[in-house]
Amino acid sequence: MYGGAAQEDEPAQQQEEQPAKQVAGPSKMLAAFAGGDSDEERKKKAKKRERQGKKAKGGKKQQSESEEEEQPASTQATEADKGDDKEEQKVGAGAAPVEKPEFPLQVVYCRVCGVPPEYCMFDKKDSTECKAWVLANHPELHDQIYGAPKPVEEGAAEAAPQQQQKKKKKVSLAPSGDSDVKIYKAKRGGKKVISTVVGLHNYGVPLKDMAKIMGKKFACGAAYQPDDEKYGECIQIQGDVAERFVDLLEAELTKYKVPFDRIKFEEVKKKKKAEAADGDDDGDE
Amino acid sequence: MFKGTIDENLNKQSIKGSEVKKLREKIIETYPSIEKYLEEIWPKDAKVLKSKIKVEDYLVQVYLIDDEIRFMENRDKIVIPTMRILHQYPFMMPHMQCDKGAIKHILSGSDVMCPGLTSPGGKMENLERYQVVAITAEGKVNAMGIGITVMSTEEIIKKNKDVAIELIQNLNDGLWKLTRPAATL
Repeated sequence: MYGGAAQEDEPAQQQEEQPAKQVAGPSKMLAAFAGGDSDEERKKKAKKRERQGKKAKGGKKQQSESEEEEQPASTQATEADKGDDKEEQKVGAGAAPVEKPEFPLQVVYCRVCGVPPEYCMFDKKDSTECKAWVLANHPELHDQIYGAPKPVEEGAAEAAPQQQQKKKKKVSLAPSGDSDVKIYKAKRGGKKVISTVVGLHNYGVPLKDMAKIMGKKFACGAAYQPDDEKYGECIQIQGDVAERFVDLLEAELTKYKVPFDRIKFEEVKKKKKAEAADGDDDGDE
Repeated sequence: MFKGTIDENLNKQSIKGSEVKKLREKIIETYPSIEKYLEEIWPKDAKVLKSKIKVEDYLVQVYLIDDEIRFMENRDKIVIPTMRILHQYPFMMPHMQCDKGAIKHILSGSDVMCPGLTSPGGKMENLERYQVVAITAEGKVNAMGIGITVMSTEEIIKKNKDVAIELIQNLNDGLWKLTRPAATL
C-alpha cells in the first residue's frame, strides 16, 4: 500500500529537486565569477536544499494522506505498470542488463525421450508415454501441444497398458517377474554347460540353502548369485540339470508349492545384445 | 551430422590461453548479440578442454567448457554452439522456419531442402550464404536444429530445389544425447 504511494511520489520529488539544482547551478557560476564560494553562500545553498527536501517530504505526507482513500486504485495502477514493464522486458530480447535473469532460458525437455515436448510426436511412432509425462509435469504445455485437454483418466488409461505392453516385450526372454521358474541352459565353451535357475525366490525359497541342496543333489557346483548381470537373483549350476531337475522338484520343491506347469526350460545359444539389455533391466527390478 | 551414438570417453586435451582468447573473439564476431551473455556461457576462468569427435569422414573439434560441450568448430573453421546453448539463448542467430512436413526428416538428420522453406509454412530471414542459422518449425517454439545456409535467401526462392541449409546438429542426435544434462528434471 505505502510502497505504491511512495513510488508515485518519487517522480514528484525529483521534479521539485530539479529546479533547485538549476537554481543552484547559475548561482555557483556567479560565485565562481566572484572568486570562489563564500561560506555564506554555501550555507544558503544547504539551507535551500534542506527546505526543498522538507517540502518534498511534506508533500509526500500530504499526498499519501490524501491518497489514502484512493490507494486501492493507485496500487492497482502501479501494479499494472509493473506488469507492463515486465512484458516489455520479455518482448525486447537481449538488451539491458536488467533482463539478464531472462537468459539462459530454461527449456523443458521431455524426460522420456529427451527433446522439447513439442517434438515428442516426431521422435517415434507412439508418444503416449511422453504425453502422459507432459500431462503429469507440465499440464500447460500439454494443452499447447496436443490441443484441447483430454480427460485425465483417458490419458492415464491409455498410458498404462502401453507401459505394460512394453514391459512384457522386454521381459519376454528373461523371467516375467511374477511366478515363472525358468531354467536357462547356456553353453560355456565346448561341451560344458551352465544352467541358471531363475524365479524361485517368488515362492519364498531360500536360495542360498537351495543352492547347497542342489549342489549335493546334482553332485556339482551350485552357487547362489544375488545379482547376476543377466538374470538378477538366481542359482547357477554347473552342468546340464534340466532333465534331473524334475526329480529335485518332487523331492524338495513340493515344500514350497512350486507348480509344475510354471517351470519352463529354455536354451540360450548365443548372447545377443538385446538379451543382455533385458537382463540389465531385470537386475534393476 | 552426428548420426549414431558418440563414445562418451572423449580424448580431452587442454588448450592454450591465447587460443581461448581467439575463440572468444571469434564467437563474438560470429554471434554479436551473444556478447553480453558470453560470460555466462563461457566464464573467463573456466576450465577449457578440446576434443575431437569423428563425424562421417572427418573430425569435428569440440570445446568443453567446465566439462560440458558448448561449442564446436567444423572443418571450415566456423564456430557453432551446441543445441543446448541455442535453446538457452535463442536470439543468438537468425531463425529459418520449415513447414510441418520437414520436421520428421530433419529430426532424422536430413538437410533442409528449399521447398520446406518456401512453402506457406516456412519463414525466412534475408541471409547470405554460409551463415549459421537455427532451424525452427511451423508452430514450434524451440529450434530443432542448427545448420549452415548453402544458398542465400534470394537463391532459395529463385531455385526452389536442392539443399538450402546443411544440417549441423539436430534434436536427438549423437551430440544432443552426449550433452544431456546430468539432472534432467
